[in-house]
Amino acid sequence: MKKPANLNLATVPPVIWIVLALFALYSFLASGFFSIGNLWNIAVQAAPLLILAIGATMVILTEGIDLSCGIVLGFAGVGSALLVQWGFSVWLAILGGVLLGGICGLINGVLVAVFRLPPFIATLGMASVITGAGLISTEGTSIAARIEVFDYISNGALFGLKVPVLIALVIFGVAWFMMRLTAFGRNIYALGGNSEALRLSGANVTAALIQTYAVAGLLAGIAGILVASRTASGHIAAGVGWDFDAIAATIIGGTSFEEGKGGIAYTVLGVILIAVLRNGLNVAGVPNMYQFALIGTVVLGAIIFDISVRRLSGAEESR
Amino acid sequence: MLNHAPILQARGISKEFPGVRALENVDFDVYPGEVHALIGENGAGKSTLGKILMGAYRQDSGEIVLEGKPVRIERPSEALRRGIGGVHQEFMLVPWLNVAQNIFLNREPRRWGIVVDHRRMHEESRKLLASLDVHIDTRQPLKSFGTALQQMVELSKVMAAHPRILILDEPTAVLTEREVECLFRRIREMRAQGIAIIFISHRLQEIREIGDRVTVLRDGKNAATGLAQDFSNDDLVQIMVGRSIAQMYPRNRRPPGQEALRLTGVSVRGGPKNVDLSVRTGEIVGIAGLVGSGRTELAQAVFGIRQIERGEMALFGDTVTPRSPAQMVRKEVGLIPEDRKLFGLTLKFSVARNVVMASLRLHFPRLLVSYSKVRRLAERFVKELRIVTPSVNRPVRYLSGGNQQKVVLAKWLDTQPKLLIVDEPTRGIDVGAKVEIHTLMDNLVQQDLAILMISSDLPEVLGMSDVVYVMYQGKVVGRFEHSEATQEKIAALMLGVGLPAAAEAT
Amino acid sequence: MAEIAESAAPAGLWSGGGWKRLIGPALRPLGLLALCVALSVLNENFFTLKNIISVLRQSTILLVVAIGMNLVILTAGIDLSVGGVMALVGCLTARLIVGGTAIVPAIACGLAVGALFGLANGALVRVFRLPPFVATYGMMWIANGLAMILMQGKIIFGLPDPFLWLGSGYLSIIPIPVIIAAIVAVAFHFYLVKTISGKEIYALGANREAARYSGINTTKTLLLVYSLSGLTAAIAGIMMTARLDAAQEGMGEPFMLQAIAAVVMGGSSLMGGEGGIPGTVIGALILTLVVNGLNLMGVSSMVHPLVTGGVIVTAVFFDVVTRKWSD
Repeated sequence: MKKPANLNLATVPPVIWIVLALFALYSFLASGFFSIGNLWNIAVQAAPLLILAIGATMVILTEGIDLSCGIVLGFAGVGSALLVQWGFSVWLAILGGVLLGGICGLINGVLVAVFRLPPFIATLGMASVITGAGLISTEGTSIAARIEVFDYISNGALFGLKVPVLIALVIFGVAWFMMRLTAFGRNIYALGGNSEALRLSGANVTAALIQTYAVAGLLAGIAGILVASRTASGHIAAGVGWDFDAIAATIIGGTSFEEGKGGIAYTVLGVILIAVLRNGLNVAGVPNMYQFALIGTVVLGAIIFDISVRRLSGAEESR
Repeated sequence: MLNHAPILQARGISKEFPGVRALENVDFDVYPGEVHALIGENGAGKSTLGKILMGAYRQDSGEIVLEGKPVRIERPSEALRRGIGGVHQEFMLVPWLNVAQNIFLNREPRRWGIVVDHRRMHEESRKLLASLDVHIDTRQPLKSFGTALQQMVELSKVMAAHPRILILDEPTAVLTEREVECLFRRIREMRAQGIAIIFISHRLQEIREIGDRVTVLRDGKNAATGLAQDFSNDDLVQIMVGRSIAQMYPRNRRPPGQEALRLTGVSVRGGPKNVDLSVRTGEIVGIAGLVGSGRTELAQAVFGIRQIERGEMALFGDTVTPRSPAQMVRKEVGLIPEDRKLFGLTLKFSVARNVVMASLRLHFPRLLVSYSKVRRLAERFVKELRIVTPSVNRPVRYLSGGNQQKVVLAKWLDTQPKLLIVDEPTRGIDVGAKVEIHTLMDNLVQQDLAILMISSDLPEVLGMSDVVYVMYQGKVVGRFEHSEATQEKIAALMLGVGLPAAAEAT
Repeated sequence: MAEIAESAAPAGLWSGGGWKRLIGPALRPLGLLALCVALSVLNENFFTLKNIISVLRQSTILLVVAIGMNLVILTAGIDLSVGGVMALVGCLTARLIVGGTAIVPAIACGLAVGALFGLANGALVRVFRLPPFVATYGMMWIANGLAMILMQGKIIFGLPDPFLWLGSGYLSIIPIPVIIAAIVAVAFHFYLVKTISGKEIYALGANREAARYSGINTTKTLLLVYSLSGLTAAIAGIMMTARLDAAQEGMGEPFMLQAIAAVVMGGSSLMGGEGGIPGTVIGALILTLVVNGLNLMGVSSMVHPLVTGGVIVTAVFFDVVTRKWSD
């Protein structure tokens, strides 16, 4: 209703068709796909991606991009695992990991908003720097962190929902609230639309932009904790490739770089698509090395499909 | 209704932009409860002055005095807080936020301090818009509305802050007659409430209808100030332009030759429908119409940028389906676009590079570029068109509006076109350059070029065209030979007067 | 950079310039010089002919990739798939040769694949209007994936000598890779500076709409530019395979970021329309020297990404700032 983009049935995003098609396809080809256990699997695997993608969506709405979120994810996991190893309490370790993500995001934001670096160079450069920092602090290995809390996070359940899914839903709820009902959310849409208008109406555009990247960093940190708890260890490369998934989920979901359309509700659809895609390939026993190429193709295909459908239904200038 | 002291004064204001001196030592003031009209030609500086007064620009020198005290205003939101509100031509709106969000940008009503109260926001927005006789769904994104309604939203945004001084820059440019009436009613109400209103426009008829005092700016300087009733239209034109009509619009035409362009029943995708039009060599055909009447879309279609869905287009008798600008350039057609900074020029390139950009294949058939030749070509045009620039290597963005337009013209002349489409030839250009460009156009048609001219400047259309077409809401609604065209007839058709079933615009 | 080359006379630095205007273009050669001085302090053998040739050879693979990337960046785009294409083509060519195909057809095949990949990138960007980094990032995954499938996790080595000559052979004292890189650099420089097509690339990058309205065929130009980037990535991949006598998936990974760094440090603006090959050559040399220096100082290879990232960010920052000064 009051969202900048309308979510009514008449304009069902094309993505949904793809997801349904995939569901149908997998249910035929891969036995064991359509079981409760597997569906929960999908949800659990999708949880960190959703959290990451929410951050990616926010950044993309400001007409920026965050290519470092995958590395930050791994870095946060490394950070909290190290803290555990050094004897800090579990909760401090978790908090530390998340904050580490936030700091990385903050630096990204400063590079973009204050130093005016193009977002993808700033975040690409940061990714490189953080990779180096991560490699140095772990000497290239993974840091074990076999602790109860992590075990609980990855395997436990609360109110009938698995914990990772619950966390993801809570975060989605909070983010949704912030996007719609606070200045933070309005700023994000305005920054992408006409940041000059926002500046002239007195808002601190620099601060708003930095906040956006910082929040994306925090979210990457939380996702990193989830992933680390699943493997009971922290590794700098844990999130490699996730930034592509997060960005892809955002774009497939319908958030566009130029028009400020979309939002995190749409991104959920994109996340579901990718999670289903990956899970289905796994269940069907497709070897890892084929997955890369396949997923890249399907994702690009989905984006193209989405864009084409949009263009056909809109009366756009076609040249 | 004049108070004894002006509420807002500008003293000795000067402002310079790269290559252009927009304002030079300008004085201006306005009293509470008066409508003070600020008029002048394009490039005279009235918009710039308005922007300075409302806080969007800062003056280079001079001072602004508010209620007797000098002030420095950093940005429009600050001006608004001090009671000065401005609505100008480039809206300060975010296209995909909804209407209410735009009206209350950064001033949203809150619950508990941080949560935005959407319900109250929409309610207040609706009330504000209703006072302007506008009833739209405030939940729709702003960009789904046309320019006229967007302007109303911008106006409501300003009104929401209850300003004591209101600056309106060309508010009627995009409005229908009925909307203008409604706006004027509101202005009169505000005047009665003691609000000081600065009305920037170049439409003399409106000035005399609504204005108490009038100030004329010419070439960035004060030209005249006085009571509106003391000036006749002709007086004002004379002061604004400083030249006679004959000087402004030279006509040395020969009888027209063969048909260069013929459109039969042409419908453009996303644009005008069922257009019949003809342009002959040796003549200037002008198209008049309001913003949004489809003229630019038509030009884009002829040039291959928009798709022609129906109908036929013929160039010198041969049927043509325009597919791309590259193709049309080969067919000796050129387009000087409406927005020269976005589409006509590459601002960071030099004059020379811009001049040859469209004609490289013409000059270098063997695909190897020679810089000395490029420079010589550019220098030739600089001399012929009297482009003011220290060197042809100077980046085009440092040139004044008039000289920039000349560079665009040079670029197209270099392709040796037979048909030239010109969209707003003298928009944003000072009077001196205007005359030069008009003279150039006149010379060109004397040399058997065919020119299709789109212009929102009625005197220009009347003065320069041999044939005038009028477009309204995507259709051609009238065609006049030069001898039978009058301002009243054309203006009426532009506004849709006397046309059957004229649905409300936007 | 191109502006200065173009006018070929002092009038190229337009009138009214102050020292600030000159700093931007001068920064790079000066930086290179400073690096050389620093390194000659660290390594007394630095300025020997042998070492200079060795450094030149080290920089060739990066330079070739960076040249193709330069073209794409000039159009205000980016090609993130170059690393993947390098790997794919390197592995493909190696496989073909080991499997019995003659060297020349194998190389031709590899080059064709690279160009086609680039063409696909161009199509995604132009026809489907995908943002370049999304399109090429996706293609990068596809290229890497295809390389993985091709190699099945193994490494290919033991390539025949005639092929290896491309990587370790000499023509008198000049290594073959240096000759290849030099030819590529000169050819592309000539292309950009002297041909109409090259001029159109600059125009497109500086203001795409104005270029289109001026009758420039933007589709053809964009497709060409991305294909050329794929082609140079292919050349680089083959050169790398020949040099290392080995091909494996992921072998091109570090080059993407370094190529972008070389181009940006060389003065090309990410917004398009500015820059050129000479600057990129300097950028590639600087990066090579930095890595060289790090190795000399015994810094572990894990630190390299950190330094590279830092160098890029700093270089772009200076670029943005000096650009503001010359406005």
